[in-house]
Amino acid sequence: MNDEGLYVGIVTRAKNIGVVRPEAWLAECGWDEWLAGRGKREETLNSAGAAQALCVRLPRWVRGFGAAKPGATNLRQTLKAVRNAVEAEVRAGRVMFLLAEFPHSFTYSVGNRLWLDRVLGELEGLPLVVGFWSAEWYTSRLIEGLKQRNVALCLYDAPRLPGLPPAVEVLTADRVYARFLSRNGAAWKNGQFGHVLDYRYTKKELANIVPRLLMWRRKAEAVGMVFANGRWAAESAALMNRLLSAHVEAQLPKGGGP
Amino acid sequence: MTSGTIIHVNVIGLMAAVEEVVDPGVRGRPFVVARPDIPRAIVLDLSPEAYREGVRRGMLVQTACARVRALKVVPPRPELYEKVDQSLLETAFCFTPLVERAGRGHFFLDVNGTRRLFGAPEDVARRLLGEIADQTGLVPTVALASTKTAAKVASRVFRPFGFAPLSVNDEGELVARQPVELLPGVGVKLLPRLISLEIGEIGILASLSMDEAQAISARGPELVLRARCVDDSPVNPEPPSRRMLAGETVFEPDCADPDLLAWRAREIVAELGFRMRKEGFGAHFVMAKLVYTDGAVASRSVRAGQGASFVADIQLCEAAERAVRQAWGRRVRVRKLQIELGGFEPAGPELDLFEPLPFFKAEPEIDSTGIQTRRIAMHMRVQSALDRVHGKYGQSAIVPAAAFLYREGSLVC
Repeated sequence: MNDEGLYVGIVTRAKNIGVVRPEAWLAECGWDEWLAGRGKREETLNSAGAAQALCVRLPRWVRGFGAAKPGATNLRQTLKAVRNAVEAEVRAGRVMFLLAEFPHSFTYSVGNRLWLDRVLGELEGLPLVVGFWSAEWYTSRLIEGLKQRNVALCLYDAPRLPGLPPAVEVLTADRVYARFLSRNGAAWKNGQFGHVLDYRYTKKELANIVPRLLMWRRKAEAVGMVFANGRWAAESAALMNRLLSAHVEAQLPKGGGP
Repeated sequence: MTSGTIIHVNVIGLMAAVEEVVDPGVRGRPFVVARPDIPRAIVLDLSPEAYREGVRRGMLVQTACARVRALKVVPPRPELYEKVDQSLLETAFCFTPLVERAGRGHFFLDVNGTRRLFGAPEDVARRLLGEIADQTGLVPTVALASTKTAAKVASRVFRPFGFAPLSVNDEGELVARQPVELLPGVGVKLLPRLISLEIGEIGILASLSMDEAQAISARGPELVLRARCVDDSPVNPEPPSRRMLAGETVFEPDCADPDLLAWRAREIVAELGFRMRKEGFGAHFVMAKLVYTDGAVASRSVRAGQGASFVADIQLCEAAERAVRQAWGRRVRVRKLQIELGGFEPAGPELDLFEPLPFFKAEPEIDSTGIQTRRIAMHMRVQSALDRVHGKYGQSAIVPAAAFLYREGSLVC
């Protein structure tokens, strides 16, 4: 469903966008493969006729980890390169969200706060979304800072486990971005750590989310929701789209016509 | 990890939120709710857009209009706000009978024991949020935690329109990292002191010892416990601390006699005290409110010390007289006197583990109200006998001898 600024989609590889899962109106992909396959993807999208929106995850070094993390001196140039690469697609409305997801190791230290401040400052004006896996970041100070910069805080639906982000929801910008990871906390308790993020959302669980999603839509200009629950992601996205369509149809006024 | 069962619901800026629902034309525009017909009207509530422009609650409307050119002034509709507030409460009562109102558009629920009916507390919180949105069009901030303090701090952090279902293990860490001004009980007086002591986060306050906390303020130990998320206050639909008893008398002609005023205060407070003790409470404060002949109003309150309360008539009367004396600051006749008892808490002494010392051997002790504990104990025995008589034969059955001095508002002998 992509009308009225509400996008439901999945996390996928860039080459599959618009081809494999046309029911997903929003696709989240990594920076490098997005950059590598830009020309090809446009051809694919044109031939498929899909009206797909994109969320691009920023490079690893922007997110505070990876060997290629630039020094403080050339951070400005590298971020400028990021801005130049993505700005045209943002203006064209193809890239709806730019996600900077910081890992658990990105702790709430002074150095990391300064790093975040510089990244947000350099990428100002782009539809930025930041996500933190470390619960330390969920402070009033951060939320107020994001509100001032009009940067969205990524919302997570994840099991309540140590090392996973807390499931809090807050509106900090004119856009909302939510990642649905899993609710499989039982796998952790059973020792099946690899299956924690492999979860099939039930219809009832997704139906409970619909009113909240529509409420976000009333308060924000664009709402993105991606499923990252492993092999069930496409199925969950399709089900969510059906539920949203049914909800919207149910709210339309019924009349017999003229 | 399990979550707590206490849900805090807060509709931030209820008046402005209701106005946005009723009149979608003001949505997204800076506006304030204020009475336009009053010369020095103040801002009662405001939209987020007006807040971003620097307008604040309590500001003069002229100042706000000067600050924001396109500011719209919407007249308040108190009946509508009351109706919406009532509707919010009714929605909450659908989930649990344990709903404590903590202000307009602001309440706590305890959903303990409702899992078989409505599912996990988080699902209840989500359903509540959805039903409030459906019925009123408002989107509150909802926090779920194991204590009222943690829930309140979370709803202050994740605002507006936030939803914070905290797990029991997370909430301590999350609360500890928040700025200290978000802790309930830290106000404009205490905050500068805490900042000067470099206590900027709730976690730093939580790490203080009780002696250090006592040095900060009389309420320091209580705040430190709150900062540690140690809060055993239950969700009480009728919290005694919020209840109040009030009585008043109108002087005809207006009164200029301090003795008569003090006597009337004693009379009112004795009656209120009887009603209060009947329910087993003691009052934390006594407030006197005077309305002068020219319509001006003055009020003062006298509070019992930390952990103490006024129970016996002797304590109540002394406090009431003090409050009246402090309130009567002008040399103008008084038209009306009102006395209020509030901040109720369970009365009655804490029983000694061991047999108390005989009365004549005991050293006189001074309690926090400044009155000797032994004297109070003696008066309490007389008081309970008096209360039994008053309960059986009415308030006028036994009156102090001083009552004969004043009859019909004037000295008779």
